Amino acid sequence: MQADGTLAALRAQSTGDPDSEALARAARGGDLDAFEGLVRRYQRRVYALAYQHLRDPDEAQDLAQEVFVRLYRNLDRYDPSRPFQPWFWRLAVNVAATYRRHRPAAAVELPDVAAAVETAPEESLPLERALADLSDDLRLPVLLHYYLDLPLDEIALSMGLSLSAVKSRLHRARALLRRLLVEEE
Amino acid sequence: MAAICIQVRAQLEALIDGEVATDLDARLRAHLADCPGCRAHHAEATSLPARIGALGSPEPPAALLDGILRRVQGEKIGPLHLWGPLVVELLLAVVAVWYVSGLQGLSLLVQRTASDVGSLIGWGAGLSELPAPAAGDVFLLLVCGLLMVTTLYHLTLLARLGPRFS
Repeated sequence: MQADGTLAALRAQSTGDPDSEALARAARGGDLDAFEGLVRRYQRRVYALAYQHLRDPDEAQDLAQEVFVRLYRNLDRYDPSRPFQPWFWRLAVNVAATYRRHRPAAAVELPDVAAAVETAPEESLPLERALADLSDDLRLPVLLHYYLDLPLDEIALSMGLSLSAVKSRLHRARALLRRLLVEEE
Repeated sequence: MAAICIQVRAQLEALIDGEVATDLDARLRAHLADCPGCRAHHAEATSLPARIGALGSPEPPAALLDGILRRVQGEKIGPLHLWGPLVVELLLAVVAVWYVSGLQGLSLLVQRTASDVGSLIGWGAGLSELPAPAAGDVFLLLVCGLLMVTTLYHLTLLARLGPRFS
């Protein structure tokens, strides 16, 4: 079962990852095993992002699957001379952003979150609710930076924003989250 | 809440990110030292990134990888699938050329078509009868239609491969 330490270890591992570049180059040449390697390397983080973004395990699986299928279809557009991660997260963010647009806004229900997440402390549920109340353009940079530990410049590239715009969104998101958490109390 | 607290709390995010000027930083921290309410807000704001980072998520289901691989394998285009339509295209082209009896037949077909177009214009002007299409033209139209559909489908397959195809 998911432990926070596992995700943290993956965060530390996947920044500046030459193995990902090698796998991407091979997958680009049609090597399906290499593509599977890429999926195995990133699926936990992608699924975690999708889950925190959508708050529904089935929708998260659907979104995560869509991210990797889109990766497969667009591998030809990856420039092997450049780092793979920023390009990959840009693709993932685009898929996540457009995924919500094509889905009707569902009421946020968290009946099974505590059951699904082994070590969720009591105070994380209001935080998850507060995150769900954020708009997509505020939630995504929050998740990318604080949850997946992506650096700000990479997030800016992924979202097609300036660095100052990303910082501004993070500030607004944090202020809004604090207000929502205070209201929750 | 005092007006100063409102101002301080509005600056907390920038303070945490180290984006305030030195003198403002000092004044804000001095206020935090004296104000329990703002200090609590500061602690909350400081802890928020760590709390978000500590959120748990379920493990991705095993079906995720299986589903991805199933979908991408379904999108792989084998050589038979890719070049099979070419055989159909060549066959249809041969039928069309045979039907019009080569270049001479093609020339006669063009002349007949031009004549029909002229009759159609005349019919529109009320000067002549509507030309009746020859049965053969319908057959040829069908063959050319099938050829066009097959070629378009073939082009979509080639386009999906993109640079990989080269």
